[in-house]
Amino acid sequence: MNIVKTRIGSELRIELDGRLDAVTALELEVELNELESDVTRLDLDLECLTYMSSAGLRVILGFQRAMNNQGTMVVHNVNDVIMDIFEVTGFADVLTIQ
Amino acid sequence: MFEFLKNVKIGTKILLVILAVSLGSLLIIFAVSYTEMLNLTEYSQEASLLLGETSSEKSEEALLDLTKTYLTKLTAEEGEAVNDIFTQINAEISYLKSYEEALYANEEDFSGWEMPLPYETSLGIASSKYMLAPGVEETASIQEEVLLLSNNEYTFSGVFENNGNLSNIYVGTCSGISYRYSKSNVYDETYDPREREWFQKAVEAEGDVVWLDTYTDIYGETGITCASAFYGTDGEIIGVIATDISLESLTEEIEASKVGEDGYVFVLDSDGTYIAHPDYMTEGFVTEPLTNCEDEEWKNILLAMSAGATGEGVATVDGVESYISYTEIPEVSWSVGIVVPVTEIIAPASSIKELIISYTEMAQEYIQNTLSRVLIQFILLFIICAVVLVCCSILLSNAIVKPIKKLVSSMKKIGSGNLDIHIEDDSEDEVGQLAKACNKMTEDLKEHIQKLVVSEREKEKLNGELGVAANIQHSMLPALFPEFVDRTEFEIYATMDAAKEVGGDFYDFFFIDETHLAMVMADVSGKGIPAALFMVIAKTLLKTQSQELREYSPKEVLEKVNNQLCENNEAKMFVTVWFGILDIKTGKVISANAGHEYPAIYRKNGEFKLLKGKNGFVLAGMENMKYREVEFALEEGDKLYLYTDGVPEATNAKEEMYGIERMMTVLCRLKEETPEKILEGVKVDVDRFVGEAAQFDDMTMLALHYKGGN
Repeated sequence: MNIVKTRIGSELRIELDGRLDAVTALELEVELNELESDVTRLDLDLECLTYMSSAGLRVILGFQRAMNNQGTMVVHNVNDVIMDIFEVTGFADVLTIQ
Repeated sequence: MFEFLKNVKIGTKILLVILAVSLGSLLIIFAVSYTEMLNLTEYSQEASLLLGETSSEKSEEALLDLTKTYLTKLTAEEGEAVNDIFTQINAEISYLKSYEEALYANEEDFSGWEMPLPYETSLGIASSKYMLAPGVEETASIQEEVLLLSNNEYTFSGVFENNGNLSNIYVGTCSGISYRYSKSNVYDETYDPREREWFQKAVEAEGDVVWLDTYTDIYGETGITCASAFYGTDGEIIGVIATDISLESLTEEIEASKVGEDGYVFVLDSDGTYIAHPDYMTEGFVTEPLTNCEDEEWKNILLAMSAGATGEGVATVDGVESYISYTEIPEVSWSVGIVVPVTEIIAPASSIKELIISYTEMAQEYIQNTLSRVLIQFILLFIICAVVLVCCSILLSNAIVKPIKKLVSSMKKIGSGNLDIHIEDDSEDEVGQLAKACNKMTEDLKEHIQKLVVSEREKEKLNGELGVAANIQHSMLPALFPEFVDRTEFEIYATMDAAKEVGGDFYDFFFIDETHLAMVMADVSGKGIPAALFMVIAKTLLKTQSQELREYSPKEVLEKVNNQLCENNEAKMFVTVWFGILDIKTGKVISANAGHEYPAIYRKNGEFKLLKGKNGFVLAGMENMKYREVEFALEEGDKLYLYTDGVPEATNAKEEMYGIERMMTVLCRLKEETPEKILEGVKVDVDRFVGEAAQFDDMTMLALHYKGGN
């Protein structure tokens, strides 16, 4: 999986490409741990994400929790596969999806 | 660029480098010097040839000059010599003429003697003889005159003996007497001296000596004649005295003065007729060269000679390019010439040229031989060098490669697991350093392996403990307790295959009261011990909360458990839960779904279908989440199938997921089977799909067959 980070001012954009499974979720978790406190808006672009496991959901939830404390998080370009997962797991109600 | 050397052994590489450098430079040096030597040879050859040409040309010029001078001198001498002959003859005729005149003036003082006729004399012995012209009577006066003429012998014999050029001396008188002193005895009775040319010319000359050009006399002899008329005291002409000079003798004289090998002297009279020529007596000799003269130069020279000029020139004479020098013979107004072939003159020059060329050739040959020798020596040297170099290179490359080979074999042993190998190489070069590094590596490896062994032991211990934990976990899941076996209302079966020893999935079923069966299918995010611990908490809370319910409300259970789990969720884990309560009497099911997979329901005589609805958020994700309930009724023969995402997300080696569709297909195929068979069938189908790929998620399933309330 590829993680592309773009920081503009207080806005951080993270693009995920590939499979977010138990292994790659650990890589994303590193990003979560390194999330700077001055980021007030986080944009997650999941256009090229093909799969998300429960470990991946856990990290997404981690980002959501973190951003609840310091700003907003918006999830972009959710494809059908990922949307199904979000709907089944109820994440669709919790995340701001555009 | 040396890509092709990649697969060549180091030893060979060293060999190639040494050979290329040393033999290459040797070759270059040789090529340069050999080329220079060739150039030098060529230059020397050209120089020698030029020297030969020039020197021979110069020599030719010099020789021609020399010859010219010499021949001019020789011609003058020769002319003088020939002139001397004629001058002497002239003097002798003048003297004999005076004698003759004196004889006639004093005829009474001489008695005389009886002379023979020519045929009465012996051939070859000089003697006096007489004959009378036809028609002359032998009168007394004639007899007296013959007797007088016999006295000629006293003087004539002396002159004749002294001058070998004279073939005879004779007198013709106006009276018709012929006196002759000669060695010949030819007699011609028709001979009349007064009709002869010499007689008439001498008469015309009135006492002067005349020379008659070459003519053939009545006896057939070719010669020249010197004649002079003599007179009596009264001034009346008495007769003519003459002498024949045989050309034979003159030619012999000339021939004696032969010039060089093929050079010769010749005499030409004023008509351009040969007087003397070495080939004069040869048969077919043309005595008048102007008649068949083809060469213009030669013709000019002949004309100049006839005119009495002195000079020299080059002309083609009888087809031979010759040098000709000529001068006048004043006595007779003739010309003497010397002819020498040019080739003979320049012969020494040519021989010098040939000599130089032959020396040059010898020198060239020597140089060529030397060059060939040098070439052979070089090739030998080259071969010797190559052999020596190859030997040296092999030794050198062995010296380099041997330690490497030793190192390689040691490393192979190390690679095969023998870490006690210590490579002995105390050299300080790269190989030595490599050996040391290798030894260091072996030491480190040993150390690491030691550590690994320790950590492996610890891991084994931990695995053992994990095994125990897994056992505990398994034991926490409901087995086939007596109260579930042989129930008339339903048949239930569940399995769990953990990806690791301890998984995060769990299922549960238990009676809340006598008629209500709670069913739980859950999946904790994450795996291992943390997930297992979280699972225990979740399972316990779910069961506890269900049993404290006043109403059969799964929604309430999930909401409460969610908040409880959120309270102390440092690990930030969550769990998806499908929770349902079955009224075993009526078949009514009330369920709530906290982010879990949709259950599948089989209606009797129908197909398995997913029971989709609006799912709530996962448990432990956020506090105060709300859940909704879904109610449905199970009829007799209906079946309910619960599972975790480990089933649809089972992945094969090609990274393809098993998927819901395959799961539904196999469920439909197994719809008539018992719950146990259904779960087994699904497991078999998933395993076949996954193949050799490792299972990376827990796979938990639960199947319920509702048999009806009674």
